Amino acid sequence: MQKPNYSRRDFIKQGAALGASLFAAPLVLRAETIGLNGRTGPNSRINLAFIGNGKIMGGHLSLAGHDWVQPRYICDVKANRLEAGKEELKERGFPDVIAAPDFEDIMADPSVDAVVIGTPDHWHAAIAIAAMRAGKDVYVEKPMTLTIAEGKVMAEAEKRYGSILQVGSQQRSDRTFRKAAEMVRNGWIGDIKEVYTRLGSFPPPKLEPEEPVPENFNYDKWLGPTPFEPYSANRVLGNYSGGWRCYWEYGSRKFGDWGAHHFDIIQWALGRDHTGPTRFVPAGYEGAEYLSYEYGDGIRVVRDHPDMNGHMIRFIGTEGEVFVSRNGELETNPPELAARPMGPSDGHLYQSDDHRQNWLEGIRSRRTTICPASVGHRTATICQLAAIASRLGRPIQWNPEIQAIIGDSEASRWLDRPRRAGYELPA
Amino acid sequence: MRHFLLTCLFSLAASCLIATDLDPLLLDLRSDDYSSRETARSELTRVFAEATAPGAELANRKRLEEEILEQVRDTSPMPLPSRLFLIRLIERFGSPGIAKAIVPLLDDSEKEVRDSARRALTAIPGDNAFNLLLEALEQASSTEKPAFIDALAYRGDHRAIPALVEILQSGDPALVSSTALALGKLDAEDAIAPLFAAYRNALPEIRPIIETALLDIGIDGDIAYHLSLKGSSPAIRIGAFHQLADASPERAQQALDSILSRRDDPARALFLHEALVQASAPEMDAILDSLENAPLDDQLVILSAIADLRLSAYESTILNLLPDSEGALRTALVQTLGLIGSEASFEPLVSAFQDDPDNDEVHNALARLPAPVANATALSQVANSKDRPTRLLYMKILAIRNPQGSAELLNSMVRNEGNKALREAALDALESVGNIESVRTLVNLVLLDDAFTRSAQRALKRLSVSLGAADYQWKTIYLPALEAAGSDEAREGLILILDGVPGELSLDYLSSLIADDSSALRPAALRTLARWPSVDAGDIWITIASRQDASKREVATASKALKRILEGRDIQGSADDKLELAVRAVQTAPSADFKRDILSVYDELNGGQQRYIREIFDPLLGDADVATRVAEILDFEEE
Repeated sequence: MQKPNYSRRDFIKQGAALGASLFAAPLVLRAETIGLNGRTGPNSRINLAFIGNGKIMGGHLSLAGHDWVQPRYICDVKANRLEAGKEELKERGFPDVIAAPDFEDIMADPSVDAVVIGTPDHWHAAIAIAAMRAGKDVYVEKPMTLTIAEGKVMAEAEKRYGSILQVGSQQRSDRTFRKAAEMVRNGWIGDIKEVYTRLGSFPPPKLEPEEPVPENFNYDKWLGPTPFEPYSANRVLGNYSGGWRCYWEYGSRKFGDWGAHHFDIIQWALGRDHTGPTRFVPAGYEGAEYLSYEYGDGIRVVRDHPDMNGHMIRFIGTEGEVFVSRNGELETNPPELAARPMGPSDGHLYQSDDHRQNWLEGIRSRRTTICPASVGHRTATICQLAAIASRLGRPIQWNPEIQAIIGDSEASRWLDRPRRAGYELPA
Repeated sequence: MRHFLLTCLFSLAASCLIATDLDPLLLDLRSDDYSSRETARSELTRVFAEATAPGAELANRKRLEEEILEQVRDTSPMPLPSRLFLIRLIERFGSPGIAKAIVPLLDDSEKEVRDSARRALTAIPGDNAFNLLLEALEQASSTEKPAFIDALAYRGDHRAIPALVEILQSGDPALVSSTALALGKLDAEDAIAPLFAAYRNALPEIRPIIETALLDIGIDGDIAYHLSLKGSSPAIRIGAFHQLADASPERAQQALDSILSRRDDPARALFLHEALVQASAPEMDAILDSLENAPLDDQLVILSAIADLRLSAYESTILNLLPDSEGALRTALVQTLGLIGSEASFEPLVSAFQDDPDNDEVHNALARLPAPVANATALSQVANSKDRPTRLLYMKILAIRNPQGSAELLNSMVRNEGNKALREAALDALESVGNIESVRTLVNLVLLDDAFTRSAQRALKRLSVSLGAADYQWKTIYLPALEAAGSDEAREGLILILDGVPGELSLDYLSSLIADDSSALRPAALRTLARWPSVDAGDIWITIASRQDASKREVATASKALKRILEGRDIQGSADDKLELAVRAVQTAPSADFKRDILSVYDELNGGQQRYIREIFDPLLGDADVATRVAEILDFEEE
């Protein structure tokens, strides 16, 4: 037999870029053999913990009904959310799930194979890193981290510990976005020149009079690594139109909210999953109407350009355009492009049709997910650099190879933030 | 010279402006008006961002810092959050020269002020801040020390290492943990020996932290070997093995052999996977060559590596295993062939497809297989084979692979094929791989109104939905065909599937048919409208329901259709668009019952509805028929 020519570098390169999900069918295997980072779950199920039972976790709790999954813990710093989560899991047939107010208890339990993190963004990194170090696989909501420094540590932890991590950028597992990305990648609209994307806006962060902290709410832990601010209900609210998502301390506002989805698809479509843009220009700078960023080859991405034809992302190429949105909406210019089926000579992107299932399959087969930490970090980096440029009101030059801001040492200070005592990053 | 003078004047003007503007902002931070406080925060951040931009005047920055410091030190009452905010400004923007002035705040009576000051010192660049943090570490109580230790690690200054090593040897578990983490973050090579010494004496719960630190720094062969075999978790062991493979490939081989020889090692799969990534080529070959005879568990991991590495040399081995395989192994074999297979895999996969035609994995593998000769074979079999089952089989293969020429061949068969089964099969295949010409072909078939009309309608609707670009299809094919059709009977067949091209233009067309009471096509248009997949159909139903002469049946149909739109998750349209439609439906409703019926869909609100409903439903609170019900709907607690 002719021996293949391979190297570790090739593996990493290909493994990161590769396509179809292997072992998609349910497997009935011994847990130690199929991975689970070495632990054996009851009946070979994946012992799962849900951390942060806010709005976003509502969808993830459906994992409790999956044949492969055994829910073990629900965790929240708000007692009412903790109880609500326990009750919901009980209704789903899991009355013995442990309600844990502290995620550290979950990390210390070696029977837990994997965790789903649905906390506000400022807690993502610390919990995910602790989980990976404890040998647990991780599904973490988007944006993966709140700072670029956190993202580097998470990507390194994923690599070091062989963790299977999925970032909750679930548009990658949507066939319409995949089709749009494949059109762009396969050159159907020529060379890409510009991309427009719509993120919308949040109301400004709101300072409010201090309110009493509700009983059985560990507000200090909710704040965690972020600066102390007095409690107000709006500050900790988990809804999509306001609440904590409006505050820079806990999220990256719309950059981290919708940007984490749409910038992610743009990265994917342009084939930039392991690199990034080189310059960010905020709205208002020298008359710039919209925030924009540019890649080294001149492709420019513009936030909230009005000429979107009602879509979420618009790719503009030398030979055509692709418009794509949720709910399966895809349009092209020329229109007949949308009606062109993929042919055998077209390149296929990694195919996942169910983001959570893709993660579970990865846990079982040890295959990289469609959005691992190494990829989620690059997308989150864009969210954060765009935010830094906006907050400082000046352009940021970025070197994606060495991951450093160029020529602005003051802006570089924003790549991370010191954490409150007692909430140090665990790596 | 002129430029220089202008620059000086501009800087002076800017400085004056900032100096003048800062006082009211600082005053606003003390205001009882929280909105003023928030605005002041934003504005102060902006002023400091400008003052610290590259090329900004240093003197101006210094003056701003002094003003802020003065406020922070001021003993007159300032709300704590505002005081903390000012310290945060220093954290974000403070220059090296300000470090010393922060130190008194480390002893402030307010805990959060003390910690904010620590964070400010953590972020301020320069030797001053570093030395002050070191001093503070020495003076801090044992409970405060971990935060200062982390502060030094955050700065990444190696000069902190000796002090940290000293603390590491204290034996205090909390300090050992935080110091170990800090040394890891600092990549403190000099600390490996003391860390390993601490590791030997550490409590079990501290060991993973020290192991992490050792891995952060990078360990030598001995320690890496030890941790590969005896690390506290499989995650740590794999991390150590990565470093062992770099430091000492021979010992890595030994460790690997030892681990893989134990079937019950809890990290076996991780190490097997790692072996295929890290090991030398001969070792890797040995593992790969064991594929045929390995236990199932190992086979799955090996196949995963073959797929990842695109090791096409193993195609024949996999093909040998395929015929007798089943279950998980068969699935993995098929998927791997889809990624590494060549022409040789085509017929075996076709056989697998015949055995299990609904298997998605086989479909995916067949679709991805790079096999141009096989494409030509499939096209030729469909076009020329004398054997009908063969033609039917390869038509399905064309539908899966879509080689160049498929649509043209299938279009021709749909138009000209005499055999019913083959023609039906061609219609089925076109649903997947049809092109715009296929749409034209199928539209014409539908208008012919013959025995194939129903099949053609089904295929056409599915193909049109799959192709998208509804307005384009409407303008270029559907509308011209409808205009050219000889009779309303012929048109009806097409109108009944217009929800396959649900664009603005086709909806306008339907609307005009519905508005015309005398149109023979009105019933068909209403049936299609009832299936319309987007919120855009809603206003037509409102019009129908609110007509003076609307029959009870029409009103009931409109109500049902509107509720379908408002609560259907698969109906395209944003949450706010649907809520606004509900408001219009209630405002123009023909009766109070109709209003209540519409509002019945809001017994439980999803997240998207919660976001908009209070604002959008506000006008309905003034409607006496439903005000109470609306108030009930709006009385929910956001999570």
